[in-house]
Amino acid sequence: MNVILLIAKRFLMPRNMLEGGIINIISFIGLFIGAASVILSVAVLNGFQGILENETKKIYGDYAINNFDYTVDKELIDIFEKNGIQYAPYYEEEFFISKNKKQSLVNLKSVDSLKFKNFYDLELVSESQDLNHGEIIIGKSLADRMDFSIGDSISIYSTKLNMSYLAIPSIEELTIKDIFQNRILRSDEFLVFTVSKDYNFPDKKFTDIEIIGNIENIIPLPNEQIVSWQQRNKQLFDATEIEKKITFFTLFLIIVVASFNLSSSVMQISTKKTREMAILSTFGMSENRISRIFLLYGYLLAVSAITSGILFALLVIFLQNTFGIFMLNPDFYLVSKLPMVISFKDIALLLFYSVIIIGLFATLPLMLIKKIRPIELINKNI
Amino acid sequence: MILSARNLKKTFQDGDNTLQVLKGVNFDLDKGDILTIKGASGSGKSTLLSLLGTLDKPDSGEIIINNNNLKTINNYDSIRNKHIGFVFQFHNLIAELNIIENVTIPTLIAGKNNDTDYINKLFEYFNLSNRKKSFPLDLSGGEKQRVSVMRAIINKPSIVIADEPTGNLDEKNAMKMIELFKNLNADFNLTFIIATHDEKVFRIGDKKMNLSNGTLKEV
Repeated sequence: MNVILLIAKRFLMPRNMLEGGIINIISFIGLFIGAASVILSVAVLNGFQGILENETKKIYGDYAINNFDYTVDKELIDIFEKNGIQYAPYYEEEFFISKNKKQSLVNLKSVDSLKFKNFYDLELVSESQDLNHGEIIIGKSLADRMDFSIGDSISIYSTKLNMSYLAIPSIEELTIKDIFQNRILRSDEFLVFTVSKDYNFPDKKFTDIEIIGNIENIIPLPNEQIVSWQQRNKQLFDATEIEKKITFFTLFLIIVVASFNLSSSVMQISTKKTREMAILSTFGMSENRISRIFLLYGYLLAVSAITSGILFALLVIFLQNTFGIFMLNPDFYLVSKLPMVISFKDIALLLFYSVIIIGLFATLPLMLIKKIRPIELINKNI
Repeated sequence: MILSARNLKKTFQDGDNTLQVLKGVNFDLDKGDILTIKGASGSGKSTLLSLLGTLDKPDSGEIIINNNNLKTINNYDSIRNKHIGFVFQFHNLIAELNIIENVTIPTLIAGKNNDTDYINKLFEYFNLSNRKKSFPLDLSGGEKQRVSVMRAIINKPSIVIADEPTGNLDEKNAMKMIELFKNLNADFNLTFIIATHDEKVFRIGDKKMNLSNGTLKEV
């Protein structure tokens, strides 16, 4: 066995474990808690982010093609049909929705009536996604806020205020066919669905098309025309990513603080083992190799603590996903159990940053070691 | 010649005072010699051993160990590892390592693989075969000092430097240690430099020298 590893290991795990000192235990616990906290917190954020992604895809599909011209781009439809890609042509515009003097701004999405039922995965109150011309499906938050119920008749008119020949806005009367629930508040509050058969509702053609499936290298369109679901909800997902990063780095501070203890541990062991350093030096071990023993000592202590923390977090995530230990109120959180998703990228990042921080904090005491001259101890007969 | 010391001088500064500990030490040693050195406390025995053991550098003079002139060498670590074995007054075993690990530390430092046959024979020779997996705390004082001698000779060094090797042993164990040095010298043709206050140890030297007033004189 490598002599440096052998000695570092034995210093770390002496026959009497209490010899290692309370400071080793504190370092271990600090790093353990830090690593476990980072992984668990990020797993929860990943879980909620995953729910948001699913909810987004339910109403936006995977991609959208903008400025779609149904007559010119007919060949695209053939490509979709041939490759088994689901698609839904639609037209989207802001409208006012009103009933009994209450009104609200909504984003009306008028979808090809032949595609609507199978393309969107809406959680509906009545669980029937049949929508006909003259009917509308609205979000639950909007329904609650406006006090709308299924079967109510509502009026809609464009924000662009298209006037009729009598100089009054064109108003359409629609019946609320159903109410959907989506965990993304923006959709639940502002998005409404209608269908159109003739691609001309209301007085507009379908301008965009939503797609479910992988269309990379299949569609002969410029990239700027194709928008993914992430790009369409960039603000939302940028915000969740920033939240994840802030959480990661905030909790990583626990590891940084615990690294101070690690530094003390290395300092303690190196000052306690000056006699052993002198012995090793007399038998020809260089100062650098002696320093590496204490560096490795620090790494062994820290890596074992961080690995244990990660394994503990993985165990908690496994138990949560299997048995649902932490339950949530679905009325408030929209999910019944705390979602947790393991991200191996985050684990790798944690290990990478930890190695750097540990290296830094374990190296600091080595500067002190360099000041210890074994010769002085040997001359005093050690 | 296995070791040659020429006009070694060493001075220490103690505040404003300059203390010249060695004022020109000269001697030669052949392979298989036992050199015993005695002298009063503070006469410079340990300083001389430190210079000969490459743990410190002389202010002037030269040391040649097995044809290696230390003046021409920058890194003494490998010289110490290959050519010199140390035995101290205290055993200085590493408490966390078991006996076989303590003994083989110099081999591991050299980056060599342990020669199991050689190690087993050495343990038999020192009558410590049943102690290989024990830890220093489990051994008696005499056993610990024998282990430290075994550690000193594991790399088959050119010279074994022993500073008061019996200083911490009782009469019985001190006698055993003296016998051990004699036997090692006879059986392995090992060269010893021993600094001691103990007259019995001093008498085992082929060359007996007294360090006094900074110079070494044959007795």
